[in-house]
Amino acid sequence: MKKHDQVEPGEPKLPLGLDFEEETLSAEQESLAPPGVLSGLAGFWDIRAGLRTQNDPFQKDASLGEIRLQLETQKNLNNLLVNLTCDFVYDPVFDHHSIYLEEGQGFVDLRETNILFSPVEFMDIKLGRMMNCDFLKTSGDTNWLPMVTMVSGKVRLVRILFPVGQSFRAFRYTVQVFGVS
Amino acid sequence: MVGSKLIKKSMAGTIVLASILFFARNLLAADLSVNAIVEKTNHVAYYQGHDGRARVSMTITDNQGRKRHRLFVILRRDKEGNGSKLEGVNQKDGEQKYYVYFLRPADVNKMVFMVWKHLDTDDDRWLYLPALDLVKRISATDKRTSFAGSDFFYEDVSGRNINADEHQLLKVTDRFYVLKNIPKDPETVEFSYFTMWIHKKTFLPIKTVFYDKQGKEQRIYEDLQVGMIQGFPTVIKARMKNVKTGSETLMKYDRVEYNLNFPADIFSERFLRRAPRKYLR
Repeated sequence: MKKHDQVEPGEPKLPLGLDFEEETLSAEQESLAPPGVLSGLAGFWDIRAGLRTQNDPFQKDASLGEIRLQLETQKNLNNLLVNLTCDFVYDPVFDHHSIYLEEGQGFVDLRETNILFSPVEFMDIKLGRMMNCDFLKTSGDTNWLPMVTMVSGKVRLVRILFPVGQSFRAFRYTVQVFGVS
Repeated sequence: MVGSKLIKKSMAGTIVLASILFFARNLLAADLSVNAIVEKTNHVAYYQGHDGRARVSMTITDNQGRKRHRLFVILRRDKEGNGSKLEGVNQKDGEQKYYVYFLRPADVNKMVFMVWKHLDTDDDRWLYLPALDLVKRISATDKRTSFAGSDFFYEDVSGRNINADEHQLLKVTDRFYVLKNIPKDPETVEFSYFTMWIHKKTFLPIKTVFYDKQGKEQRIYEDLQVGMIQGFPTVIKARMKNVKTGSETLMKYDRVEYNLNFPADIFSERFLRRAPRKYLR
């Protein structure tokens, strides 16, 4: 700020860095990210509890007691992106804790285990276990399926999904065109 | 006598005409300079370099002092426009694309907010929710609602269309231009007008105050720290206070870089599900 500048009533203070002449403005910046960000590992811890307000002779007093730890990691290996997301869940209200990966039941819930790669520029291929996509009614569920995404010419995005059910005889496919410009 | 009366009359006429011309020219000059100030401010706030990246840390403090944090990376890419609609201004700031990739909190890690900012039509906005692998289109009418639970609105992040407001130059001080901006379509916004204190040397908007329909202060934005990065004056710390709710949001920027030459296709639905990690580091 020049010394002869008049400051009017109500005028805001100049922010740090503008108090000086332009040449001395600092480009120094503090690092904002906590350790671990972009190192590949992320996760959260979630605890929920619920109690019944009325007595039910056929039910436990607790309606919910879920403890969930979700860990996820992404690794880039020579243009091959590996995604792994796993939930560790414990709910004392449940009586069964055996693991059924296919149904997502038990104390280990494997949400994503897949690889993503682009064999050609206009195509992504994702193979493995992943979240079902939004255009399937069962959004939010996981399943083992291959998925091909293509972008070409005037068609912005075409996704071909091959959901594989319990039996390979139930094999079916879905083609989704996301928009034509 | 008659001759002198005629001379007096013609002199008076000349003075009146000269005065009208003088004031008209001043009015015109003032009007042009308002447009130029608005354009330059918009350019400095949202269009420096042809693209850019910043990592942003957000701390939201509510009226009881409770804090929440957000960490995300913003990518921006500009397309040259056809020039301004404002008279007397030759700025070619055009359409823009924004890609906002969330890193923290961990339960929204990999969430993406994408905007295609248009000048003549409503912006296109998408939200990608990784926990559901769901791409959601956000209504253009939501642009004046909270961004990521903070006191900033979606429109504060991607910029308000300068053609949406009437601009008046309230005063010029030694250090600031003070503008009053009145929405042309008041039904579409929650404020009645907002004032901006614009630094004369850098054209950075240092303080912005939004006023409600009763003329009371509603939200106050202030720059707290500025740095010079690659020759561009850049805000690296800013705060938005919501006077009505008593909460405030502090935004800090690091890893700011301009002119990285992002490819156009990373601002697409395909790259919502498959984040362009190379450019987010």
